[in-house]
Amino acid sequence: MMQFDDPICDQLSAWLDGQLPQQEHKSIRALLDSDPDLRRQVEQLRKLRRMIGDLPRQEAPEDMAQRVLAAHERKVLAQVNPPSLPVQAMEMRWARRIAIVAVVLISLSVGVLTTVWLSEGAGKPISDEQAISRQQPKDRPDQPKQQETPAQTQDDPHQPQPSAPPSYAAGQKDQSGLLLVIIRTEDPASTDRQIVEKVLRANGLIPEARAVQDRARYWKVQVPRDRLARIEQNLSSLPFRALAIRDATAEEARSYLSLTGARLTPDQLSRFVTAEPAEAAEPDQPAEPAQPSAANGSDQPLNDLDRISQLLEQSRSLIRQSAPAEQARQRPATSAQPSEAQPRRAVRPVIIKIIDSSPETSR
Amino acid sequence: MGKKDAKDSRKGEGNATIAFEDATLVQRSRAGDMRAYGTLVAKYQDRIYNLTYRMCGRGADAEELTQETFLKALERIDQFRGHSKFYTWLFRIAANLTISHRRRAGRIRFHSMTGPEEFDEAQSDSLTASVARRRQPGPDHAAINQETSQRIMQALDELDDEFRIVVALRDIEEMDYAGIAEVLDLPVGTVKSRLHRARCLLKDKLADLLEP
Repeated sequence: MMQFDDPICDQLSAWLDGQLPQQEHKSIRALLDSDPDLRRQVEQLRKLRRMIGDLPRQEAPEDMAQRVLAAHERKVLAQVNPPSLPVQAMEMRWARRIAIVAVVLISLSVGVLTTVWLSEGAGKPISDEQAISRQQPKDRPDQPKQQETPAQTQDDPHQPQPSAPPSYAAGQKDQSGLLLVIIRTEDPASTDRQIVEKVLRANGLIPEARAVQDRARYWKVQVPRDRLARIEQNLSSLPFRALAIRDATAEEARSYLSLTGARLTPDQLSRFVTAEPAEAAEPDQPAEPAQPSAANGSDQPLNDLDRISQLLEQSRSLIRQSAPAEQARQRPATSAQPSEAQPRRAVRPVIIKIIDSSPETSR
Repeated sequence: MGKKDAKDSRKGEGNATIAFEDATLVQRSRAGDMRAYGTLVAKYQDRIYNLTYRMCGRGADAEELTQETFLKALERIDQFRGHSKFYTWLFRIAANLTISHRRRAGRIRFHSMTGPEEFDEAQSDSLTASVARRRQPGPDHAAINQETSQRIMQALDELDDEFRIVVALRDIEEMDYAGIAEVLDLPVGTVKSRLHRARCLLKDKLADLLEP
């Protein structure tokens, strides 16, 4: 066996390959001439080298270049479109979830409005006497009211009360507020606008939305005071821009509204804040029958999943019932116009809700 | 100028032409000319494939490694500065990929229940060798039969990677020591000693074939 650490032996392969300097080459040559054993080793190495060199040459597939370029193209495309199929599927699932949550939240807000309006009985302006008489049983909810059917009971939110006007009595400031809904779009196809409009019309609260400015519509509804906290709480949980103002001065309301981008003129703003009762509908406004499904479950927690599902279904059913709403549109609109004859009242707690319909997309 | 000088001069001109062609093709490839890179692939694919085949011993693996070599070279072609020859750079990529592949394969070995997988490979080698000999009979090389070829391949496969790669680059690719040292990023002295040791190991394994 050849010794690996033998310096002479170590040079034999290099000598055979012609890789030694001239001087070393000559030295090995001299050793080989005098040493038959070294010559035998060199001959074995030479034969080994030849056998290895004689191994059949392997040829690559002829389409190797095409394979390489195709693989490169696939890699480049994969870098341009990095999401893999599972990632895309995951994004689709998330997009679907976000869309569902958005629909539920919008429906929730509409459902809150619907519930409030139904429980308030069509939001018609009332006289002080009516308001006082309506307020009396509310102060004693445990006693049955003489002139009300069970379906008209104030504390039963499951029952619509289209004929029961909201209370807004002088000297009882805390009994009601004004809900102002503004949608910043004039797009008739706007989902937000359609939902709100259908709900309002179906419940006969305000038959006609009014344009405040370009890209803006508003509705105003009186809300019982005892529901303000709940509504505020729900407004604060909405993902889109929402604002609730209670007992706001005109200046505060103006600054809040400017933050929302509603761009109300000072005149419009001051009218909302200081003269909102005059803007309300007339007492003799014909009220449409309330949708039974829209009056369900206001006593239950609004964050309850069942409740959210109910509200979602209510909104859908209201949209489907376009025929009654269109009939309501044909009725005299005088009731929706501001009436200067209405007695003006002092500034009341105001709730202003802004539903931002993403003006960038709805313009 | 003597005959030998004239021959060396022509050889040098040929090398310069090849190098110039490679540099041009590399430059065009770097600029996004995929046809130019395809030409480079076609030019060196057999040498790379042969090296990887001798290193890993399986045709399918050699194909994959060859493709991966050219793919990686294309991805990194901006990093090729031209300080070495293109094929040297290419062989370095191939050697690294092949050694990594063998290390991975060494951790997971599959055993056939019907016999050694090399059987079919050997038959294929024999057929290929037969065709190759008929196509390009080497004037100075004696043809080796199937059994001898299989023995040599087996002996090569039993060498450690560091020895097998120098044998493959020297005795199959016929690179000089400096080129091998450049490919493997080793000193020339290390190449020389590893090659000699590898040959000695092979000589012991194939002693019966080397007797006169």
